[in-house]
Amino acid sequence: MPDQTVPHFKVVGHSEPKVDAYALVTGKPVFVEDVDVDGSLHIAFLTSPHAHAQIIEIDTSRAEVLPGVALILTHENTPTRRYTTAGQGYPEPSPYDARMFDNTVRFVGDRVAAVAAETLEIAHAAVRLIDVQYETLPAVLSIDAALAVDAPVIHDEDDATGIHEAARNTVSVVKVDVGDIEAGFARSAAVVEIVCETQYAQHAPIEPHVVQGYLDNDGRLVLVSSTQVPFHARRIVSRVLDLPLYKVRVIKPRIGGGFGVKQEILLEDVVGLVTMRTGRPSLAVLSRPEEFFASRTRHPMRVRVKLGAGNDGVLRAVDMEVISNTGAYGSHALTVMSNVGSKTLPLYNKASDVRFDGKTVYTNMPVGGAYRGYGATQGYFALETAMDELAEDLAMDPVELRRRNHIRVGETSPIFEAIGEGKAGVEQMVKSCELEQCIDIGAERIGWDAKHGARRRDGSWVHGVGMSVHMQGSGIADVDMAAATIKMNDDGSFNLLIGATDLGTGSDTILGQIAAEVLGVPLAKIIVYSSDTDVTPFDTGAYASSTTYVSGNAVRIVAEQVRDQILEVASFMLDEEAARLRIGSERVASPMGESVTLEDVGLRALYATDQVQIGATASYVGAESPPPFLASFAEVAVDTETGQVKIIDYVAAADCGVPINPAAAEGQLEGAVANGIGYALTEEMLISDHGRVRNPTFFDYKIPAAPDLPRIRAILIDSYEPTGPMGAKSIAEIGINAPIPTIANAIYDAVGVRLRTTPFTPERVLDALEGIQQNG
Amino acid sequence: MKQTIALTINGTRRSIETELGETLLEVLRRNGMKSVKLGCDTGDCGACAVLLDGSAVNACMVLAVAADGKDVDTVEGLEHDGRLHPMQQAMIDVGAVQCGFCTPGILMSGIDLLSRNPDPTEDEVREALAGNLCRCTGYVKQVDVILATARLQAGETDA
Amino acid sequence: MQLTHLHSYARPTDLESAVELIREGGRGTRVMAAGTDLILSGSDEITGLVDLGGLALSYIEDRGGAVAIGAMTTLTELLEHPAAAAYLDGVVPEMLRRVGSPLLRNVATVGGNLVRRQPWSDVIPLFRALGASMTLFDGEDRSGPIDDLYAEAAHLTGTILTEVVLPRQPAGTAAAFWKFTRSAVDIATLNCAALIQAQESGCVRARVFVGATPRLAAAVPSAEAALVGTDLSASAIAAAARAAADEVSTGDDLRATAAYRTRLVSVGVTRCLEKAQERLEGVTS
Repeated sequence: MPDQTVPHFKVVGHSEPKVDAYALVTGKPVFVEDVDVDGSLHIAFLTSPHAHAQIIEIDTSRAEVLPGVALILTHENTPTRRYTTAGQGYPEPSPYDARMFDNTVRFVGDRVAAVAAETLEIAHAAVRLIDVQYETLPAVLSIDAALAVDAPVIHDEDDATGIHEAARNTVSVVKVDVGDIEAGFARSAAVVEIVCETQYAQHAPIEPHVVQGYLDNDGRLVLVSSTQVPFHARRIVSRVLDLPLYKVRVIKPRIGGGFGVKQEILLEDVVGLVTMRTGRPSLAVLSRPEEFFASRTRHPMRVRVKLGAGNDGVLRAVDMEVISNTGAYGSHALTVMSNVGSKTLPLYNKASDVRFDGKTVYTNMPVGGAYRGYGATQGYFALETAMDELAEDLAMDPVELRRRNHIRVGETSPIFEAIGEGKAGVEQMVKSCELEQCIDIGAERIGWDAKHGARRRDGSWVHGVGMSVHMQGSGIADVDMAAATIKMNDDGSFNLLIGATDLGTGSDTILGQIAAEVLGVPLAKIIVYSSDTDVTPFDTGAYASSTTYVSGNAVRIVAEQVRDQILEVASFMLDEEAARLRIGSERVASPMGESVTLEDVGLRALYATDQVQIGATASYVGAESPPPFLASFAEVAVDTETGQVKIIDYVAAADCGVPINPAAAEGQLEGAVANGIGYALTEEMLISDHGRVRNPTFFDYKIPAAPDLPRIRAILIDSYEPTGPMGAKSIAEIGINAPIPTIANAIYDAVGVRLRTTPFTPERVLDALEGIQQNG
Repeated sequence: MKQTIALTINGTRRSIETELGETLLEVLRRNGMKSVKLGCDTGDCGACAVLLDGSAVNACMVLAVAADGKDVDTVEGLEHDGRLHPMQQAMIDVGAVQCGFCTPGILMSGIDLLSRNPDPTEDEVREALAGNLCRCTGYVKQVDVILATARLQAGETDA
Repeated sequence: MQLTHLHSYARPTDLESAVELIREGGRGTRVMAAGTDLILSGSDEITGLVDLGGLALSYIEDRGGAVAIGAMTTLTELLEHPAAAAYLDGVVPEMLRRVGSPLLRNVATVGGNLVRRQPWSDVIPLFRALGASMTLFDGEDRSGPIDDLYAEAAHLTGTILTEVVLPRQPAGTAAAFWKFTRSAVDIATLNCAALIQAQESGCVRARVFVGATPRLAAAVPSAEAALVGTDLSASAIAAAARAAADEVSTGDDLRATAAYRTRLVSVGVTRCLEKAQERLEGVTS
C-alpha cells in the first residue's frame, strides 16, 4: 500500500485568499476589454443564415465604401490552409476541416465575412451591406440523418485531413474489446440495457470570447486573449496566418470563465489578420447570441449502455455504445467521444468483459467542443442510470451496488491503457481513493436510509433521493506538459512564472501556495504571473483537469530546485552542509539553531559573493492521470401535476487528494454541480428545423440563478495522492457529471419514471408520468 | 446626436458627453468605470449592475441621457481611505471570487439588498441575486458573503 | 450603441408639453417609461424619445381602500409599499415578486408594463382581474377601465397613461396570482390571476384571467360562470378549471407546447382559485 500519511503543511491545505481577489473585488481593469487601446478597430461578423450552402458570390462593394470601414475579410482574400479550432496539443487529435473563411458554409452561424471598422456600429452597418448569393445544399440536422444511406456529405473537400470517413460523415471511430462481452452477459444473472440522449448546451461564461490585437514596436503581433490555451493559440494562429511563430505573442490577462469554450481559437486568427493587414490594433468580442450559435457547445450524444451482473451485484460485463454529434466541424470530436468511455468504464473495474464502441458524426448543426466533463458527463448519465436500474433488478440498495463495484486503491482497469486521447492510453494503478468514505458520508448527510423509497408526499409534490458515483482524471497522461519558472529577489520574495492559465479557477493561487510551501514563505512572498507566451514557460493550458496536478507538479519541482540553490548559498553563510539545512519561516536554519533570513540569502546571491541569480525552470509531464472521485446525492421534489422538479438538497462528497486550497476546491465543486443542475433541468439549445438556434440569449436559455439552486453542500474527503503535488489531484470537472444521473435517479425514486432525455423539463417529466411515449 | 449630461459618479459630479442612443453601461465604461461589465446586453446577467440613485439596476437597460442628473455608484467607489467595503473584504476572506467577472454586479445587488433589508434570510439573499448570473460558483459563498456582511453591519450598529 | 438613429430626446415636466412633443415627433417618436424594451428593440426606426421621467408620475396613494399608482412608479416601489401589502392580503406583491429580477423591477414601471402589452405580462392579468381603472391624458384626463387598453381597437397614439387605480374591494373578496416558469427568473410559461367575491349565498363575482398562453392574458368567462352561484367548494373549483382548460386556446413556443400549456391552465386555475378561497376563509373566519 502506498503511504497515505498526509504531511503537515503551512500554506498548502489552507484557504488562502486568492492572489487576484483584491483586483477583482475592486473592479480593477484586469480583463481583456478593460484596457482601451487607442485607435483600435472593431470587428463584426457576418454569419451564415443557412445550415448548408455554397457561397456563389459575395459582393462587399457597398460595405467597402461605407465611411469608417477599414477591412473586409471573406473567403476570397484570406488564407485557405485547413486547421482545427480545437486548442489541443500538437498534433491535434481533431481533424483539419476548418478554414478561416470557406466558400461552403456548414451551419447557421458559420463565418462568412468579418468587417473591421472605426466603431462597432459602423462594422455592424457594413455587415448588413454585404451581399451574398448562396446556393443552399441539403442539410443534415440529426444524428440519424448523418448516418442515413445517401446522406449529404458535409466535408467533401479534398484538402481536409484527419477525418475517419468523410463520405459517411464519420469523423472518428473508437472500438475497444476486453474479454468476451457476449460470454459476460451469458454469465450474468441480471442484465439491463438503456439508451440515453443528451442535448445541445452551451458553456455560457459570463465574459464572452474577446481578443484585442496590436503590433508591438518591433512589428510583432500581440494578441491579448480570453483564452484557456495561450500557447496553442499562438501555434494555431501562426499556422493559419502562415506567420512565423516567433512573430506572435499571446497574453492571457484575467479570464471571465471558460469551462472549455475558451479552449477554442475562434477570434485570434481574425484579429491577428486584421491587425497584420491594417497595421492597426483591433478588437473582437462575441455577442451573447454569437456565443450561443457561433462558438462551441457540448456534443449532444446518444449513449447505449448494457450491464450484466451476478446475483452478488458484481458486474460481469459492461457494453457501451456512443454516437456523438460534433456539428459542422470536428473540434474535439474524437477525444470527447473517447472520454465517454475512458473516464467512466474504469470506475467499475470488476467487470471482466468490456466493450466500447464510439463514433462521432458531422451534422449541419452548431459545433461541439471541449466542455467541462468532456464526454464523461454524457457517459455517466447512461452508466449511472443503468446502475440504478440494475440495483432495482437485483433488489439491492443502489448505494450497496456501487460499493461492490467501484475501483479501489491498488487496483487497475484495462481501459486506462485501451482508450487514450488520440493515441493509446497509459496503464495505471489507483494509488489514492476515498470513494468509499465519500459514499458513506454523502449517504449519511442526505439521509439516504430514511428517505430512499419513502416517497414522502406534500400535496402534489413527491420527494425522492438519488445518487451516483464518478471519477475523472488529472490531466492527459503522457500528453499534457507544464513548465514553471521561479526566480528569487533580493528581499527573499520570488517571482513564479507559469504558462498555466487561471481562467477564474484559482490556479494562480494554488500554484503560488505550492511554491510557498516548498520555499518556506507566506503566499504573499510569491508573485504569481500567468500567462504570456513571451515571458512565461510553456504549458499546454487549462483543460482536462490538468492544472493542479500537471502544472502543480512542475511548480513543486522547480520550487525544490530553487530551494536547493538557496540551501547551497546558505551553506556558505552558515558554514554548514546544505543537506543539513532546513528552510522555513523565511529563514534557513542549521541543526545548531543558527539561521539566516531569505533576504540575507537573496542579497548575498545578487550583490555580495559569487553572485548568481537563484532561479530555475522545470517541467512536468504526467506519467499517469490519477482520478479524483465523487459520490453525489440529491433530494428532489416532483410536482405530479406539472412535472416540475425542484432540488431540495444536494450533497457532493469528493476525493481530490489533498485540497491545496479548500475554499477554492469547494468553489470548483459547487460551481460544477450548479452547472450540472442547469444541464439536467433547464439548459437546452433549441434548434429549428432549419438548423437555427432558437434561444441564443439568457432571456430564453436558462442557466441557474441563485434562487434556482439549493445550498449545494460540497464536502472534501482528503486522500493523499503520492504522485500529486503535496498529495493533490484534480477537482475542476468531476462535479458537473453528477447532477444528471443523480437527479434522474431521484426522480425515479420519487415518482417511478425513468428519464432518458435531457434536460428533465416539466413537460418531459409530465409526459413520462402520463406514460406518453416520446423520443425527444 | 451628442448631448452633455451630468452624472454624480461615486460622489463626484461629472459632466459627460454622450450619444443619445447610448446606454449608461457604454458611458460608464468609456469614462473609466471598468467594473461595469458587459455580459449580455439584454438585462439578463447583472454583470453591469450599478446603483442608480441608490437602487441596483442593469446599466445596459438604462439610456444614459435618462440618467442625467442622477447619482451612479459603482464598485470603483466602494473603497474608502484604503479600506474595502466589508462586503468586498468578505468576498476575499470567504473565497467567494472565482473568475470575478460577475463580482462587481453581485456586490451592487448585495449592497442594494442590505440597504432595504439589513437582516435578510438566505432565501431573501438568493432572491436579491436573482438577476446576477454567475457560472463559476454555484452562489454558495456569495450568499454567505452577503449574510456575513449583514451580521457584521448589525454588530456595528449595535455597538 | 443600442439606438443608433435616435436624434431627439426630451424629458418634459408637464403633461401638456409631453403630449405636444409626442404629436409633433411623428412616426419615429416613442413614449419612454423606463425604456428597457426600447433599448432591447435596438430599432433603427426610433428617432425620438419623450421620457415621462420628469412628470412626477411616481407615487402610490391609499385612497380609502383603493390604491392609486402613478404610471411611472417602479415595480419595486409598488412591491415595497405598505398600501400594496395591505391590499387583498398582499396579492400585488405576491405577483410582483415573480416579475423579472430586482435589477429589472428597480427600473421597470407599472405603466410601462401595462402599456407594452407583452403577452407574458404578469401585471396585466392580475390588474384586470382586480378590475383596475386608469387615467389617460391626451390633452385632458380620460378615465376608464384598464380593460380598454387591451380591446382590439385600442389606440393609444398621442395619449399618456398617467395613473392606475386598484379599486376598493367589497367585503368578502379575495384574489390570488399563480405563475409557472422554467426557472426562478423567467417570463411565464403560463400565468393566472383570479378574484372571487362571496356572500352568504355563495360566490357572487368571479374574475379569472389566464396569460402567456403564449398570447396576452384574457378573461375566461366560462370559468367565471362556473364559479358564480357556487359555494366555491373543491368541486366548483374543479369545474371552473375544466371549463378554463376547454376554453383557453394555447399555442407552442420555445417554452412549452400547446398541449402542455393546456394542462397548466387546469393546474393554474385550480391553484389560483384554491389560494383565493383560502384567503376568503381567512377573511370570513
